[in-house]
Amino acid sequence: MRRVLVLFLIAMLSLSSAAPVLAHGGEEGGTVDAAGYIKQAIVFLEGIQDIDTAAMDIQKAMKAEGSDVLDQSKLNQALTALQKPDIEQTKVLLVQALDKDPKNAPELSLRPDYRASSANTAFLGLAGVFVILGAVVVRKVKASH
Amino acid sequence: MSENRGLKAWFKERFPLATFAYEVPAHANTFLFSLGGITLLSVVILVVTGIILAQYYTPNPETANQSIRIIMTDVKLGSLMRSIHVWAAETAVVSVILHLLRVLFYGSYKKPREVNWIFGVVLFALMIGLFFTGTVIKWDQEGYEALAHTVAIGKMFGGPFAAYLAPNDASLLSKFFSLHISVLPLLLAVVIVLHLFLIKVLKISPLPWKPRTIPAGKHTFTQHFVKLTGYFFILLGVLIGLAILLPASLGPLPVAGVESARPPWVFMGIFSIENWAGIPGLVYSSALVMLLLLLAPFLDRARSNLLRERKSIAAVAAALVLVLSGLTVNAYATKPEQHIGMSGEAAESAPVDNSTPMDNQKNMDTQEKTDTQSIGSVPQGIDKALNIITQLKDALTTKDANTALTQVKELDEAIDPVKDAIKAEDASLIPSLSAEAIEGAVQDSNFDKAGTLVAAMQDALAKAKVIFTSKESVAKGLATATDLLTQTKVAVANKDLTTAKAKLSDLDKTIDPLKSSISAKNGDLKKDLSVEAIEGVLKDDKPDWTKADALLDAFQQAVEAAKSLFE
Repeated sequence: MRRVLVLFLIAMLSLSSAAPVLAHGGEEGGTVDAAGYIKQAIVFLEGIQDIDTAAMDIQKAMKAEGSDVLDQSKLNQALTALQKPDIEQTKVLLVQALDKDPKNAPELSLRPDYRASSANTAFLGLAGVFVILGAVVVRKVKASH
Repeated sequence: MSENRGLKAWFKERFPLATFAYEVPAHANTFLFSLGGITLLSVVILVVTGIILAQYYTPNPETANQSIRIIMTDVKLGSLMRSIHVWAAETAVVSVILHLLRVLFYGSYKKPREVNWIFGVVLFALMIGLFFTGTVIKWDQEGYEALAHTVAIGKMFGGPFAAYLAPNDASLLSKFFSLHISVLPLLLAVVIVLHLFLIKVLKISPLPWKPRTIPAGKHTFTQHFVKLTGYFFILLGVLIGLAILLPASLGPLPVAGVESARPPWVFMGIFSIENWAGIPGLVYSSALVMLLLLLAPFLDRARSNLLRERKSIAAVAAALVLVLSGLTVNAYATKPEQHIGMSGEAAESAPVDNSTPMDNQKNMDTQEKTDTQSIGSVPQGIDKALNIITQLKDALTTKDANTALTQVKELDEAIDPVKDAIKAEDASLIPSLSAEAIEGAVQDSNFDKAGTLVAAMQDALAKAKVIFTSKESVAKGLATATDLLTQTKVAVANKDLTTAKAKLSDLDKTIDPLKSSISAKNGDLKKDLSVEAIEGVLKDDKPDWTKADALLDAFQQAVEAAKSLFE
C-alpha cells in the first residue's frame, strides 16, 4: 500500500512540476484575412467570452487584408458594444459586418429555448406518465420483497 | 382458457425465461447496484436516437454543422431526438462513472472478479471514447478543437496512431463518424456481453461490510430485471422532460487558428493539467488514471473486500476523486491556454476552411469536400516546404551546417515546382523564397542571417498557402454554383416554378459566402452575382420565363468571369 501511495505522489508531483516549456506549444502563425479575424473574434465570444482577445481580433480585422469587404461601421459599433460589455449584441454586429443574417448564421451558436406549445406540453405529459409508471414498477418490486 | 394455457406453455417451452429467476442477494436490487443497468439502458436509448440522427447527419467538414442545424430546425422531432441523445449521453457517462466508483469503493473487483473489473474499465474507456467522438462529429468549435487535440496527440505518439490521423483520401470527420457509429459501439457490445456473462457466472459481489455469503431471501434476477424496466421508464421520462425544457444547443461553425472552447465537463479535470503541462500533461495524466484503475485489483492487497481491511485504497481512491473534482473546478475558473499551435501543425491537419465555410445543406450533395486534406498540389508543395523549414530551423539553432545545407537543398527542390504558381498569384512573395541566399548564409556560418531568411521564407509560404487554400475553395464553390445554375435553367426551361425557386435559393446560398473573395479580385462582379432580379421575376405565379432565362444567362456569364479569376 505504501508503494502505491509513493507512486501516486510521485506522479502527481511530476505533473504539477512539469516544465512550462511543454505547456504551450503554439503561438499563432500564418496569415489570417479580415473575415477570418472576425470569425475568430466571434468564437472567442461564443466559447470562453474572452473580450480582450475578441477586441484585438476586431482591431486586427480592421487593418487586415480584405477589410474592405467588411462593414466598418458595424465593426466600430461592435467594439463599442464590447466595451459595455454587451457580448450578445457584439456577436450580432460582427455577423452583420460579415454581411450575414444573424438569425441563421452558422458563425453563431444555435441555442433553442423551451417553447410552450401543444406538442411540447404533450411530450412533457408523456414524460410525466413514464416517470410515474417507472416509479410504480420500482415500488412494486420493493413491496414484493 | 385451455387454449391460453396451451399458448403459455408453448411460449414458456420456447422462451424459458424462468431460468432468469435465479436468486441474487438482496442488495443486488438496490439503486447503487443498478447503476450498471442504468448505463446499459442509456446506451439502448443512445443507439435508437443515434440511428435516427444518422439518417440526417452528413459527416463532411463543409456540411456537418449545417446538417445538425437542419436536424434541429427543419426535421420533425429532430431537436427532440438530438436532445434526448445528448442528455442520454450525459446520463450514460455519469452513471458509468458512479458505477465504477461504487465497484471501486465496495471492492467488488476482488478475487475472482479482477478480469470483470478490467472489462468494466474498458467499458468506461469506450463510453468516454463515444462521448469524445460524439463531441467531435457535431463539428462546432468545441468539436474541431477536440479533433485538433487528437491530431496533436497523434503527432506526439507517431506510429499507426499518427498514420490514422494523417491526411489521406478520407476526411478525419468521416473517420470519427465511423468510430462513433460502428467501431466503438461494436466493441462496446462485445465487452458488455463479456461483462454480463462474468457477472452471471461469478455472481453479484458481497457488500463491503458484510460476510461473503448471500443472505437468505427470495430476491431473484427477474425482480432485478423488472426493477430495471421501472428505471427505464423513469429514465425515458426524465430524458424527454430534459430534452423539452433544456434542448441541446450547437456551437458555431469551427474557425481554424484559435483555441476558444472549453471541453465537455468530463474532460475538464485533465484539461486543467493540459493548461499547465500542455499535450504531454493531458496524455500522461489520462494514462496514469487509466493505469491506476486497471491495476486497482492488483494494487489492493487486502484479503477480502471488507472496507475495514481496505481503508488505504479507499483513501487513495477518494483522494483521486477529490483531485479530479478540484481540477475540474479549476478548469472552469481559469482561462484556457493555447496549447497546440492550431494555426500551425494541428490546424493544418484539421479539416476546416476558415475563409469560405459553406452554409448550405440543401446542395450538399453537389458539394465537393474542400477540407485541407484534399487540397491540390500547390498547397501540398507548400506544406512540404514548411515541414522542411521546421527541421532546418532546428539545424540552424544547433548550428549544424551540414544538416542545414542538406535541408536547404531539399527546400529548394520542394519550392521549385510551386514557385511559378506563387509568382502568378503574388510576385512580391518570390524574393523571400530564395534558397540560394540561405545556402550562402549557412556556408558563411552566418546562422543569424540564415535564421532571418528562413523566417521570411516561412512567412511568405504561409501567405501563399492562405492564397491557394482560399482560391481552391472559391473555385470549388463556383463549380457547385455552375451545377445549380444549370439545374435552375433546366427548371426554367420546363416551367417548373417550385424547383426553379428552390434551386435559385440554393444558388444564392452557395454564391453568397464566395462574394467577398470574388469582389476582392473584381469589385464589379459582386452586383452581377445577385439573384434578386431573377427572384423578382419568379415571384409571379405566371412568371416571364424568357426574362428569367435571359437573367440566368447574364448570371452564368458573371459566374464564368468569376471562375476565370480563380483558375
